[in-house]
Amino acid sequence: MMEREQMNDSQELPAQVQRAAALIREEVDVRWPAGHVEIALIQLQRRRHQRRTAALGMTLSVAAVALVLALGFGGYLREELASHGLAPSASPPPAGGVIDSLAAGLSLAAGLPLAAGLPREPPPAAAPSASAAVAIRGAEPASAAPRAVEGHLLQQRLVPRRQVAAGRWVALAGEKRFGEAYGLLRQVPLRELSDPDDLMLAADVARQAGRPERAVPFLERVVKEHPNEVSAQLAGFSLGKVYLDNLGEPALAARAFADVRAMAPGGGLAQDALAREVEAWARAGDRPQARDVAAEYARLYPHGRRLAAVRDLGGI
Amino acid sequence: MSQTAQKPHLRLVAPGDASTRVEDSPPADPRAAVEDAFRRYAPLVASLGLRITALRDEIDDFVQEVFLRATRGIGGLRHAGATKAWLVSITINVARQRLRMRKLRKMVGLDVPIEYEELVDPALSPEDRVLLSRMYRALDTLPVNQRLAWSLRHIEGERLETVALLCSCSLATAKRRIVAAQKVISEAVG
Repeated sequence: MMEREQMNDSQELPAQVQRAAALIREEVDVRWPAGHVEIALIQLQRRRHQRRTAALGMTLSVAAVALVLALGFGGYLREELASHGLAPSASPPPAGGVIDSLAAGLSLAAGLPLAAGLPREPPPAAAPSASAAVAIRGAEPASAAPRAVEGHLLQQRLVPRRQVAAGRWVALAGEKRFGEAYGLLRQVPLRELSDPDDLMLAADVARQAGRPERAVPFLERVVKEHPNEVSAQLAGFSLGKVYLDNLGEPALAARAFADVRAMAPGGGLAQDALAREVEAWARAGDRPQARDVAAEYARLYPHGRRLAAVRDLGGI
Repeated sequence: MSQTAQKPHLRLVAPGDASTRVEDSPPADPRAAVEDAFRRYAPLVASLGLRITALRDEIDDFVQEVFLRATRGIGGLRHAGATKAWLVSITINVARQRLRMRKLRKMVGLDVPIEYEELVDPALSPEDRVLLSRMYRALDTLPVNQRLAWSLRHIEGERLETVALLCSCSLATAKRRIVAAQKVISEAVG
């Protein structure tokens, strides 16, 4: 019975279920705008690059932690051996950082006294006693302590606020709260944003917050400071779109689109950039330039998906 | 005969399909092969992922995840012509992972409710949109493996053997999952 039920699974669907399945099949679909696949491909390349960088960073971090643990353990072992009289204890324990620790480890491994490893600074003539230390502390100027406290409070008040702004705007952008993200982004010193992904995100936040003109400097920095990154093409293309669609600067837009092509003539965005360049020159009223660029599009992409529009805009 | 059997929507692993024709050599340049596959199949992956998971806000990220996994594995692909079927199997795995994650989020109260009516054209009749919403809510109640098997069978119109292949289970298990899912869906929607 069960087997028969299983074999006839497709014939027992109620009409409503069949209707619902057909609705999903026919109506639920992804309609990407033209050029979205190429943009998504560039994003994929960026993510691939990020993952590689993250993996490298993780490897280096693990290696660094392993090194620190190994050296620390070397110091601990040396002290333990010294306390049991199994290793020379005349020299003080290494306290000068990695080099000293390394020297301790190497000395242990070679069975040599630490003093023979690396030259050390001469010890102080006599260590101050506890009472002397108290006396010295008591002799300090009275204003020194309040100044230190004041400096500490100043740091507490100023530094964390900037740090919070620096980290929080990214989280808000991730939650699509672009207005709030932009408010915090404005508190972040621009020099702290240098990574192309941060700059691209900052540009997105500004655009989504309704301040496309504020996206321009971020996008320009990606193009200028990271011309070899895949993000640069995307930034150049976005810059052209902002100039053309938001700021009413078609001539600047045309130059931005031309830059995208110059960066990667065979890249995924080259064809769309060329088509948008024609549109920009046409909107700028520069008919000869629009015609020339349209002719170039027709020559490079005789079966291009925007050929009809390009011919129309370029008047060819 | 059911509509599913009459009008298969998408043969994910159809032997006669030129795009899945088996070639005898692996891709020469794996990176170029992934990019080529992305241009050809990203819309297919996106549509399949959306129909199965209904996670519209995550769909771009979903596609990226599929192709990132493809990047890692394409070097081991023995036949360049099997790219489509291989990508579909990755899509199903990523969908399984996303659906499980969503169930987990729901369990701890972190899930954001999905407006299923917004998945389709607003011009669609209100009755159809409500029906679609009921269907997805019924699918949400199913165990993930049952949901995948039923969706592949009755939404994508796949053969049972293909469903079993894509779900990495035996034919009998695939049938059992479909029947179990069907019972729940029939009660909720039918």
